[in-house]
Amino acid sequence: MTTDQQERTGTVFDIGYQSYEGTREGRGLAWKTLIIDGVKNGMGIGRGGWAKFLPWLVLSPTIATGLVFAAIAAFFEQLGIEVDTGEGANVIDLPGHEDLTSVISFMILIFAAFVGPELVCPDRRNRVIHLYFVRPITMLDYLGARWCALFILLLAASLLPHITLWVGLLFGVADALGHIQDNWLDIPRFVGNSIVFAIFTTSITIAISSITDRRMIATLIIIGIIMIASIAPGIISIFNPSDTVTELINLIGLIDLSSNIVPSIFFDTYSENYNLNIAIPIVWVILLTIGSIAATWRFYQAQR
Amino acid sequence: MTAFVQPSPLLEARDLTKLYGNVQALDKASFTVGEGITGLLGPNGAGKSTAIRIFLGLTDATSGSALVMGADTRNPEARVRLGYMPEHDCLPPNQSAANFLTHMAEVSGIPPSRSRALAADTLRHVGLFEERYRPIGGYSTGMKQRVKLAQALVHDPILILLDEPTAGLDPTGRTEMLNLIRRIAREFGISVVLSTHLMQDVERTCDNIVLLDLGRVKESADVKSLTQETELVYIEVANNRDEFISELQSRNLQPTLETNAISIPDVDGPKFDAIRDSLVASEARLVRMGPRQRALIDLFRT
Repeated sequence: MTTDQQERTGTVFDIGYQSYEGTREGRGLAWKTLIIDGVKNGMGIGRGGWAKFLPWLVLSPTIATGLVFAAIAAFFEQLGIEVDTGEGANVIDLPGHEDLTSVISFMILIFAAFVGPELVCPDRRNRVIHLYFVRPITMLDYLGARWCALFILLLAASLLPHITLWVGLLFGVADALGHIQDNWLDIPRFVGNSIVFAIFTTSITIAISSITDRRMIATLIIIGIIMIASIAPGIISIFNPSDTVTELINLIGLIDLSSNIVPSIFFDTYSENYNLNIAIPIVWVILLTIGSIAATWRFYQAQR
Repeated sequence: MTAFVQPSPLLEARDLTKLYGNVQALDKASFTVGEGITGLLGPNGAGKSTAIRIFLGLTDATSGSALVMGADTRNPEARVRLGYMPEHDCLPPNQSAANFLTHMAEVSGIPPSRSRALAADTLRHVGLFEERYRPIGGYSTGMKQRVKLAQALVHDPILILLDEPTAGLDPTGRTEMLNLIRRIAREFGISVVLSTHLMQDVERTCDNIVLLDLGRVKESADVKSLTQETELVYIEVANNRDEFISELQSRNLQPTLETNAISIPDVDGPKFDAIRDSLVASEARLVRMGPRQRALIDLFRT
């Protein structure tokens, strides 16, 4: 006869070391893991409250701006005043997606300055990077995955306010279908602009973050470069250069470049505002991107 | 008839040379590492770390070749079943050991569905199961060393390279770490390369040894053959030492007086009788007599 006491008695076996016999996935899984890890680190997911607070503090005004723009349109609609946020005839010309881009680009640059270093600096500071490079991945895999993580974050940060505005306008206007028919072209425009903006901002941010392994110093350097590059054209304009020279110098200013020049190409207003050949800013953005990627590669090669 | 195929060594260096500017870190070093625990021994600047860096694909050799399980070290696939524990700190202080190991297992290609269980198992084996959810930043030096070892093991490698694994540990921690390394090789079946400048660690732990000095391979053999008994006999007496030496000399033995003992080379049967007779004649009281075992340190003296 067994008692209750005996029934509850069990034996714990130490089964010892078990070799892993399952499948081993390739570098694709490493990319996916590093991208997810990068996105989580960037947004402070799985970390302390302060790590979560900072990115959202910088990001929330961009979404709020989209909401405000949509609310303004809805307000005028409620008053029965015909509004136009696209290319139709102007009754009241309310700010649209191009204007939203102008407003939020600076905020997203600041967001990149906080989030970008978070993705790459701690790995070098804590020397975890040495452990990555002895795994079956290459330096290209590591940097590519971190680049993708920041790209995803910046693309999301750039698209979210536009999506907020777009959806807000749909709910705000009386004729939603007519609004879509009139303004559908805005979608590829703001998506295209956001992709290009995210590509070159990601590349520049990662390149600058490669200089130091301290997050806050990298953030300050990025903000400093954004500010100096944006103030420089203003200082040079004191010398009254020609319009062409002024426009060329304006390309240095990252804020002007991302807020006005690049969006004007996507929203088809470039020729109204600039005399410079449209190929020049396009080539400049490509050069900035490639140069930043090359600089990042060199920094990491040297530190390896 | 089936041809016998010699299994390729786990690591193979052929005329490995590495130059850092004018400094020659490795000079045509050739050696192989097989199963078991192999000590990569040498003083600072001997080229141990450079050799490890080349095998890990972190740097290229100036000339020569390095193969990991038959694959070129420049191919990332060569590192699928390779683990590495660096000497320096390399752990994220804000993460828990469980999360960190899970992440590292996934980067090594272990599917997410299995990586968490493997991480927990590995931490259990290194004695950190209870503490696995604590942030690594709060761990002691010994615990951090164990996490470093665990991350090298988490993807179930065939071979792990350990760079000075006992660095910074107190005597107890050092013994525990060496026991753990022995267990990894004997029970887990994972081969180990132990890079160290501490001869005692190699003597206590390793089956084989590769001795590097100034970038060259000075010796490559199994530890037993290098530390085997020699035909040198050590004799320690409590009194009448000079008389004892005179008696030995009169019997055509060649005693050498060392710090506390007298050594006699090439001792065979008849010479043992002569030693016995010398002790009786000199009335010296015998304290200790035995064959001398070579220490690895002798390799540096030769």
